[in-house]
Amino acid sequence: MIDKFEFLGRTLPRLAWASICVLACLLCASPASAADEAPAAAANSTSAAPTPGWTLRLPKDEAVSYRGLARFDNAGGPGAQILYPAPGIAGLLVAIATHGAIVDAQKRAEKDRIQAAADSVLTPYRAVLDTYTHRDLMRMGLQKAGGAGEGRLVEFAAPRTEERMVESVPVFFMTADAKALILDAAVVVYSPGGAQAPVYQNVIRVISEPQDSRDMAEFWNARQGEQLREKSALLFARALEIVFKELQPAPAGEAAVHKTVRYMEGGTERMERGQVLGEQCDRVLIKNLRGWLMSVPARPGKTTDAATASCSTVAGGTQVPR
Amino acid sequence: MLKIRKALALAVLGLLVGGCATPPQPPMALAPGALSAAGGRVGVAMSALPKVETSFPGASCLLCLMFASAANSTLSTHTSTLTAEDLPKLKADTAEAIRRKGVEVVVIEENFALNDLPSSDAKTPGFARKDHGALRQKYGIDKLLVINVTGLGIWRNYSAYIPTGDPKAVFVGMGYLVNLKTNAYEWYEPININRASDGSWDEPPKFPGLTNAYFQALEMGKDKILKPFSN
Repeated sequence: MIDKFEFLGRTLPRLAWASICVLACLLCASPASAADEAPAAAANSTSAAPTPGWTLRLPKDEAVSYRGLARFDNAGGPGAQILYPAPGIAGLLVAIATHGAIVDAQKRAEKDRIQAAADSVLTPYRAVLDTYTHRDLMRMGLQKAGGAGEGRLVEFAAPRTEERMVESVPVFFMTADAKALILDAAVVVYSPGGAQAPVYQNVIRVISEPQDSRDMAEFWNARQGEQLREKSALLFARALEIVFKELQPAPAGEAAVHKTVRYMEGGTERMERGQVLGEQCDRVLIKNLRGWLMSVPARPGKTTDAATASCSTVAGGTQVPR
Repeated sequence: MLKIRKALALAVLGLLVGGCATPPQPPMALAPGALSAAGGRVGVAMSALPKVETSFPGASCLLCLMFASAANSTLSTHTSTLTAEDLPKLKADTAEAIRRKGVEVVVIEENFALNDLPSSDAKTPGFARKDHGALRQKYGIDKLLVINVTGLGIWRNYSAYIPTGDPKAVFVGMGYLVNLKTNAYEWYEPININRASDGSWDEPPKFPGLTNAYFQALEMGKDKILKPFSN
């Protein structure tokens, strides 16, 4: 009971925040008379069948959201033993309610402190991040998303057309060691023809390969934050490719078998319980217990030879499917 | 009568102070040479696994516990469906890891009950509080590695009626290697893993975030035991 109120309160879970933004954008979207479109060239598709033209709607807010990756494992420690002053039942209830309000405030403050400490990893990059807009991110992302066919960017207020429309609100996180970026993209897809109900909605999480540099601040900030912007756009492109692959009819498979998959998140090994959907280019695609799709870097030496052999390395060390 | 009461009070105080004087055992890295062919045969034992369940530390009064249980009943129902998965294999996996170092290993099949051992005289860290000496002859081993898992599941801290945080997946226990001649520890690893849900935890009825955290805690607990022997 108390927890449901807390969920709806200030401390919204980070992964639900992206979904709520997308849903809010859907409710606020209204037809407009003009659309200012930015054309995007599609790269060659290698990982999925070509898709007919589709549009990607810009989010309402300009700036791309970047947060530090916070871990709340140590939050909410053991509480003090308390003796309630109880001059009757009413007094006891008031004492409990007061205790609850105090603890609630302490919990929120603790979570805010943990998040603020995590956000401090982004301080060296604020100059770059504050000028990085959704327009820049999505334009670059569309150029890199060869597997998603020919997409073009449309304004937030653009009317629905006969083409398939994709809406997404990306939220980026940087790991505490600054070695990796994580994208959580809430995605909604509408079918061609202007139907109101979406045909697909999900959260796609893409974790970048860990970067190995002595000075991560110098690495990310070099050439006006080129790596930061490029890697972010690449993660977004991967998310789009995953979505379009999901939209294709899949053959009937065996019943899902859940296992605990280990992967790299920056310099740290992490685990996720889910169903392995595929491996390609030293990356593993997982459907987690929430049904979200996660594209994660495999642990070194832990992918199959076929998965590694399916890749070539382009300039800059990024692996792409052949 | 007053003198008897004073004496009793002093005796109780003495017991309390004496109890508090024993320092807890800190972690100990695996001693160099602790596992070698020359070091003798090593037995590997594991305690009975606890039930996977919820717990509400801090909800110490009966009414507090009742309210906490009621407020988290859906979570408790789901937690009871979680399994320890391949945790029972940890004993065999650890034995195999030690065998690869060229050590002769004896796997003790029955569940190990630490509390059934007699207490030892040890009062200082570095020595087991229970006397393991009799096991040397019983199993024909020189050292014993024990995996003792005491808590598994999802716990939520309370202060009386009020939860002080979100529920978290836990793996609690310890692993140790004891020399059966001297009763001295040659490795001691307390395990107290807490994993929070990634994102919202309150997602009934299947609580996917907390379930994921549980399986993460399970893997991390196994890693804590296996890591010193896998290098």
